[in-house]
Amino acid sequence: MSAVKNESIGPEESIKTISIIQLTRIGDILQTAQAVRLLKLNHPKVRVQLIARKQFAEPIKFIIDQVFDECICLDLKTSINTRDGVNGSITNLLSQIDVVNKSNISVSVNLSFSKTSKYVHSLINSEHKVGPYYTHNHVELTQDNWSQYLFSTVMRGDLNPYNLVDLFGYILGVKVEKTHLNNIEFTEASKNSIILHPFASHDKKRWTESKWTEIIYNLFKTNSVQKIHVVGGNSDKASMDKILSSPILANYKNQIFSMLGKPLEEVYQLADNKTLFIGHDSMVSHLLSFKGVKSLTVSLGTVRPHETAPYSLGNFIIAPKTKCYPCFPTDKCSYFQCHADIPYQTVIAISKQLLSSNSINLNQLKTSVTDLNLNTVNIYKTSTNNIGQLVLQNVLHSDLEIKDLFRDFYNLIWSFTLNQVEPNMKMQNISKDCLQTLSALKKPIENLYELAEFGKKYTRFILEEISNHTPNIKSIKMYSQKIDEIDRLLDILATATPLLAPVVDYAKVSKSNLIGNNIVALTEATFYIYQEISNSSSILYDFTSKFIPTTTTKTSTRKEV
Amino acid sequence: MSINENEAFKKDFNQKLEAIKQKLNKQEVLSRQDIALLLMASVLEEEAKA
Repeated sequence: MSAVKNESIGPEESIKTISIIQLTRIGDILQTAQAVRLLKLNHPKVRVQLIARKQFAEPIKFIIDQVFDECICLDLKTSINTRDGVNGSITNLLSQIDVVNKSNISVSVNLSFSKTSKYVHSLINSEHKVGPYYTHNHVELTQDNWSQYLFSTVMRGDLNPYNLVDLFGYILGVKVEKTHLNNIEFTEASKNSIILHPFASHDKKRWTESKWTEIIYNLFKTNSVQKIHVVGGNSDKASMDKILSSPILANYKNQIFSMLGKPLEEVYQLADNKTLFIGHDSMVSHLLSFKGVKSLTVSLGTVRPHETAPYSLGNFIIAPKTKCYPCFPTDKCSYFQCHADIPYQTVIAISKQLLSSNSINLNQLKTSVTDLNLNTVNIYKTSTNNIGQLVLQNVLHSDLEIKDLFRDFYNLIWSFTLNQVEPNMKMQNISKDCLQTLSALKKPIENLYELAEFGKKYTRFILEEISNHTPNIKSIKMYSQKIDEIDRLLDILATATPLLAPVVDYAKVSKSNLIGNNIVALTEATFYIYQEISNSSSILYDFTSKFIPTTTTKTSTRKEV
Repeated sequence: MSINENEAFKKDFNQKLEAIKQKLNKQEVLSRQDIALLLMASVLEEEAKA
């Protein structure tokens, strides 16, 4: 994959070092690397240092070295040992951090959000801190807006419209409109091999082996592909054996190659422009997106495709339309309805088309798969919008569902509020169900607006009281209690109307990170948070009003916003 | 023997952790060593969960 570089050169900049903390797994490091690749297109002279855990960084060192100027691998576990004792272990940990601090760091950015990463961030000497860290009084702080957004929305619900790479990019200050992904296809139309990753870190996110066996069998039987390389970890061996021991694959064993436990660099080298990747959402799809390899991701369980789709154009994602999808890792589930809602016949039909033409022909798909097998899924294609964000286009259903519509609304709200850019919303139909939900939302949106206005009123009362010659402490306390009450009501509203929760959640995170060292500054900052809620609810109200017709019709046409 | 099973290590670690709590109760500023100890606690917590 390549991207178009903006040729305009800004004012001369001195070389700055940005230190990025990414202590989570390989997939997160790869998404961080994509964001840094975009950052380098915006600011070629900036020096970027990655701080990652040794066990996650080493397997993808060949990618890290392409993007980062330096990688510092932390080995936190071995630093702590009984031989060195507690004091010795502290010294070991600090000596690893000292390696980071040797550089003159302008900005340190924490993209991991774990407790460990917050402490590491606290120990780094940098001029500016972006993302969460602990102060020396052990107060947790996240001061930048996009990190607050990431924490408030991504971690809590499925209404986030942004791909994580774009979000990381926004935290880093990337202007994605300057880095539109290139439309040139790396992968040739006619392909002869598949890299298959039928495994995932959790049972919720993966099909049973029998479904994959059917897919492999069908693709070989119809001569759609010559060879399939199965990739995975050593822990996937039992699953791999199950697939290989299936009697229906007996004639094709010499065309199936196991790459379990092989270095990721070997997998990366193996993929060429005649390769299609098929698999569950995993770091393999992120890895191959660096090369521009065409991919089909089967998203299940907790996977949120809008956030984790491989960051390159023209990739396809099949996701179930199951009501409870996507779920949370903590949700208990024994039946896996979402697994049943993606028929393997649909995956076979899509795979065949991608193997022969790089794209999906809907008419052809509708002749090869029954309506029953298409009605339970969404098929998305990765694309970019007018401001360069990676977006998912639903290629199968033209009617928008309520969550899709709200993702579009929120994209407009956050992009404009936080970056002063406006993504276009295209003309599309909305479903009858969606229309009904929208009608029912008018009242809760009004309530949200009223609560925000009450919040503004009482913060203003506090400011007025403070400005008096003899401020009345009793009155200030009473107004503060009113504000607490408003916050409780906002919580109740968000719980009762989850579609509005992103506005309330973002405000809550912003409120817990207020900037100011006196009561006036803090109250002013609180006022502006209620102002933001008020603005967001006004925009939501306008949007919903546009979609609700004065006379009831079966479907409503979306207007250009 | 793992860290969690080493009584002497655990005792020393818990004492130091307690001292940090006292500091925080008195609203004192934490040193780099204190934060490194909290980092250690977090890593050990992750290890216990894994």
